[in-house]
Amino acid sequence: MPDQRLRHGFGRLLVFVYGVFAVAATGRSTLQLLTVASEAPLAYGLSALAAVVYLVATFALATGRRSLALVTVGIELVGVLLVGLTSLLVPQDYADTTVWSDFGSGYAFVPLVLPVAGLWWLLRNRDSGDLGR
Amino acid sequence: MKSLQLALTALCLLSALWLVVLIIRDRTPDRFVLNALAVVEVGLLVNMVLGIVRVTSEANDVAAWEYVAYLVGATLILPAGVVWSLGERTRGGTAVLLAAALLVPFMFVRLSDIWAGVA
Repeated sequence: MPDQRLRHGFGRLLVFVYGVFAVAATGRSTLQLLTVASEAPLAYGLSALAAVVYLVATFALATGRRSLALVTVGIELVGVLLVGLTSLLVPQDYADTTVWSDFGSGYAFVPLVLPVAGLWWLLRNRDSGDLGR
Repeated sequence: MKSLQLALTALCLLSALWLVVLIIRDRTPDRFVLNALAVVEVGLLVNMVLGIVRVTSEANDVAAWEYVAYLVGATLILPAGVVWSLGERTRGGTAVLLAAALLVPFMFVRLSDIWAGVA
């Protein structure tokens, strides 16, 4: 059941920033996959995954789909932490940087802040006494 | 192009500062800040033209599609932000404009990184 609260107030800002990342990541990874995919398959594959996650998260937040938003924002948080950590520990495994490399330091750490802000917003706006949903 | 980008960055940061004041006071964007962002947008269009001329005429080993994509992208941020912001005349809507205003200088950094071959 859509929860319209998710797209208002602070949610308005979240949807905008998610939308910017969705557009930017999609454009970037599409061109990378079309032109230089073989140079860094892991990095560009992860970029494409990130693009899909941002797209679905934007859609879920904008339309108030709470569980879909929780899943995508959760994947995003795990992704940025995992890729951030491994890009520091085993940088040789990454032939090129991704949006999540070094915890998103190339994007002013917004990729790290965004899922945390998203989770906070989703949990803040859940219905009290309606646990287990 | 560098001095234009510096001037636009200054204008964006001033607008951002004013937007923070508006957000704290729980106001919607006023005429003042919207005019400032309109001036920035005109500057961004000039910046796009200058950049396209530069990437096609000067000798460089920059990926032209990437550079042009960033130039065009930079001009779309403020219109998208204004439209999305006006859709909800609340503090949240004002915050959308703040994000858009801060994104423009970031695009300049990316543009010069791409030009220098860093990114």
